[in-house]
Amino acid sequence: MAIRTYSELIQADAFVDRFDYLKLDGQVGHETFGFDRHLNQQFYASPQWKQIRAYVISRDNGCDLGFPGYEIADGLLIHHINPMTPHDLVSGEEWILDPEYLITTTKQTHNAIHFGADIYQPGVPDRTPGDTKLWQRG
Amino acid sequence: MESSILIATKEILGLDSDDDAFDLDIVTHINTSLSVLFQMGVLLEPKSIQDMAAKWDLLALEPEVLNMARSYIFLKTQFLWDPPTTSFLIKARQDQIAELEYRMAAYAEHAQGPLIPVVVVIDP
Repeated sequence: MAIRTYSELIQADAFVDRFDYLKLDGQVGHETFGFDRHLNQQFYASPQWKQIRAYVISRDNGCDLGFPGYEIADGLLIHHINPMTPHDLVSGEEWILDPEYLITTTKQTHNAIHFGADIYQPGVPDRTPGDTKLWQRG
Repeated sequence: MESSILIATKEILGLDSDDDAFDLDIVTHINTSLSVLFQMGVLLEPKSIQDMAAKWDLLALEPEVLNMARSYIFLKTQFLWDPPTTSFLIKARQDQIAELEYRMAAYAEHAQGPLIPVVVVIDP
């Protein structure tokens, strides 16, 4: 699997391009936390993680995938650009706390990256005549 | 690294170094940060800047604390001049500022020794 990085990610000028760079589409056969979930809960409660989390949110200006204009008001997550396994945690791999492999995102975008759901793109929807008159639509 | 405190801070804030429209605000916020650093015991004398002529040497700090002081001035100025708009970003920036304050206070205490209370005996 190719190693993805923050430096490469921010080269993409469009939100969709950043999403495409990150998406995993629920790769089959890869180890996930499952019954070892206590390990990552311990990790996410550690002061080291909280410190790096604050740095990443600040660096990304609290925006989804660090993309300007996509400020997150609800459900912010820090995503490991390259999926983390229980083995990485137990062996204390340094990259799991390296901002180069972390990005700010929303729960919705995070799920879309992992499971291929639709991505939410904030912005002004296309307008059509009468679209504010709900009783006349359709 | 840009040697002028004002120009470096403006660049971090995304401003052009030639754009002086916000210099008064930014200089004010930098001086607020410098006052806090003095109050914490990181700076041994009160310092302030007026314009882009002031360099980082003005702070007369050892490299290990100068790097933290730079980040602190950037973060504090950014927080005051361009306040974050979401609770996540407010919390993240506050945490970063608080951590730097703690670390620099620890440095100041270690470098200069703990404050010794002065007892004044008044002869009746």
